[in-house]
Amino acid sequence: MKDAILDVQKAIIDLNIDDIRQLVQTCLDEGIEPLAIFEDGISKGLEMVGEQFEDGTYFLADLVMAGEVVKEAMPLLMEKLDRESSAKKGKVILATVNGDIHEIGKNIVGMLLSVNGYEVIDLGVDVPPEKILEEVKRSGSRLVGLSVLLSTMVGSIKEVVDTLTEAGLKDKVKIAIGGACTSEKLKKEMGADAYGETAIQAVKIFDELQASL
Amino acid sequence: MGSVSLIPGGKTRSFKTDTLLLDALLDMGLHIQTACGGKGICGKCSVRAEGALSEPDENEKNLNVEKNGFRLACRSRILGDVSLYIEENETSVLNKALPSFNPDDTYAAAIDIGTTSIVVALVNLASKTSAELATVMNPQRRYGHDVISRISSAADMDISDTMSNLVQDAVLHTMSAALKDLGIPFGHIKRITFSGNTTMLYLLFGLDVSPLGMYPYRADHTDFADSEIAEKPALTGSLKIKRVFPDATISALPVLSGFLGGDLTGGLAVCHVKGFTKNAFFIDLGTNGELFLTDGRGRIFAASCAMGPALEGMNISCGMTADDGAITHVWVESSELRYSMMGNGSPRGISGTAVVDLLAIFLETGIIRRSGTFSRDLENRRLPSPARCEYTSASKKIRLWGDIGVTQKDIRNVQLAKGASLAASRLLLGQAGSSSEDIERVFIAGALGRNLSMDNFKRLEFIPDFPNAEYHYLGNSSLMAAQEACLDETFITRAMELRDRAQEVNLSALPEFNKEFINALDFK
Repeated sequence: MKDAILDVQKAIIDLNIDDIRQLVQTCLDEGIEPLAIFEDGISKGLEMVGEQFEDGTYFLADLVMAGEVVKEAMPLLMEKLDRESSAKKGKVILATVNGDIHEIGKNIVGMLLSVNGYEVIDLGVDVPPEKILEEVKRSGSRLVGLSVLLSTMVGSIKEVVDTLTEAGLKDKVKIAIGGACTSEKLKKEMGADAYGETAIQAVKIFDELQASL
Repeated sequence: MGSVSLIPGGKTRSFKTDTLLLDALLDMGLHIQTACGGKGICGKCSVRAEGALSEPDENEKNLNVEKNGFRLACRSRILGDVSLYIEENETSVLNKALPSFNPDDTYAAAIDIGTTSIVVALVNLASKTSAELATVMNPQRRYGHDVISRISSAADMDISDTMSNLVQDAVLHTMSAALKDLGIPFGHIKRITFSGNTTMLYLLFGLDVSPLGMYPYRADHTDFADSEIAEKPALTGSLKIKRVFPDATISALPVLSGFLGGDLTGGLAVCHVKGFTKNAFFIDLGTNGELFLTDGRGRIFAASCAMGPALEGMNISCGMTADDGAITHVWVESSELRYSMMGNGSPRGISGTAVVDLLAIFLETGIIRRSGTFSRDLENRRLPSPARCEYTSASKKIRLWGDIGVTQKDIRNVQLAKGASLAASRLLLGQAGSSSEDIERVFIAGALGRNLSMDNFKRLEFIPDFPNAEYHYLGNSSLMAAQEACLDETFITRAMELRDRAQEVNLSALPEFNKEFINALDFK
């Protein structure tokens, strides 16, 4: 891989917000494809930030910072990426479920999805199932991400699944869940389609859900 | 099914297969110590056992208890018939060194129902003295270690009833054993006052806890004065305690909302009784932190925050409560780490106060950075002996004495706790329109022991720096208030009046909460 791309990757890992723009510009000046800069530099860097988060080296503030660094770099690439990639990835509706108002994890997921080309519709916290149904109908989005931290409110996931089922939309929409009290087992119990243990996994999960539609 | 038989007493009871031996013993009314909360590090729950139990796990093997036929009750599961060698009468629940109680006097009991443990104190109504009789594990712990998981479990009505019975049985068993030991007739107990967080009181009185676990965490039932309880047969009807102590009036401290319970109202009332009614800041440090401040005009603002159990040593890899075998205090002397501990022998774990000391030392010596991350070049650096770094691919750890150490994850859990309390304190100050300079007195209550080094506590910034304040360590404000309420019939009414004046601020609903929380995670 070209050194200039590795520098971008390193800047993401080191949360170097001051130099990221210049480093991306250097890549472009050297004639490197924007898609390669994004995938091998930025995405790969974020992945490694995620690994460091999982072993405890990085913490919440670092994830937020990583998002800021990526945001700083994206305008340089966005325009060219849009033109090149045939279509943007899909729309994702994100919400913290009814009865819960914790949103740090959901916000990090939203940030990661949007820098990875998804259009994110964030409905906020304490969102009733009807509102999610309404947004699915309005936006035509077929991907929904639900966040829940309080184990008392896991039933709210089922309510969303049931509401979509009643409206005859369940087969057309894929639901991913995440948050402190969620698990693979809970996913099955609630009838959701995917579960992510950490925010970093979100992009991969939604890519797979998108492909399965 | 399986069974547990106690030898030589002969008591036998059946249990479902896979029941934790510890839960079975608690059900059988035995007093078992679990300082590490069931992590299998403190070894306090070891019992000599024979029969069908699960294989010992790594922790049990490390402690090397099994060679003499001993097993850790907190790690062993019942697979069939089990015999245990336990002298039932040896397991006296009483704390040592109790003052003498005159059996002819009249008494009251102050009972603090904590999520983790239940503390029973006896109050002599004649001499106006009181003493803590016993601390026992809250047997509801099998339905979860924190209030949220208890509320989830209580969605099943049978489990909700079981939890109500378990806690009443634990209180009754402890009280009757203690009173028999002291020779005090049950009829001499004239008053029983409970305190606890809202969920614990709801479960005790058999109320529906489901609204408490759901935003906006409303509590419809907030008063538990004796008249209140007498008027609602539903509450007393379920109360076995009333049947065993028919001569006692039963009441509990009021609560403010789902997450502001007896720690807060108790602290509020105690501070006011002491005359600190203005420019005071109070925080009860616990899994759920509860705080209030009074401004210069005496207005009261209250809030809660989710701290997690780090200060109780529960989500710390080598954490345990301040009990025999626990390191409670650590300091540096001629570039070596020194410690003091409870009891003798080699230390088994570290208590919350020692965790605070260690992190402050790590910060001062550059072992961790302001962000809480272990410094990069630790392998090549001289650390205060016996600290040495152990990096594996999966985790990073500073090893201290024996197996005891601090991991990166431990530090993160302390940061989550202090981030929550610091952000909550700053936001509450902001909502009240007060500044940290205005505060004249700071009261710290809760899980940490009296060994808390105030300097190290301040170094880690669990709360903002209050430059003009005197700091006081209050201890268990909830129990303290219950004791006061036993002696002073107007105390609960006054606590209710103060509670009514308090304005609750729902901090996590504020738009700036997340940013404030993330900013508060770093050390200074």
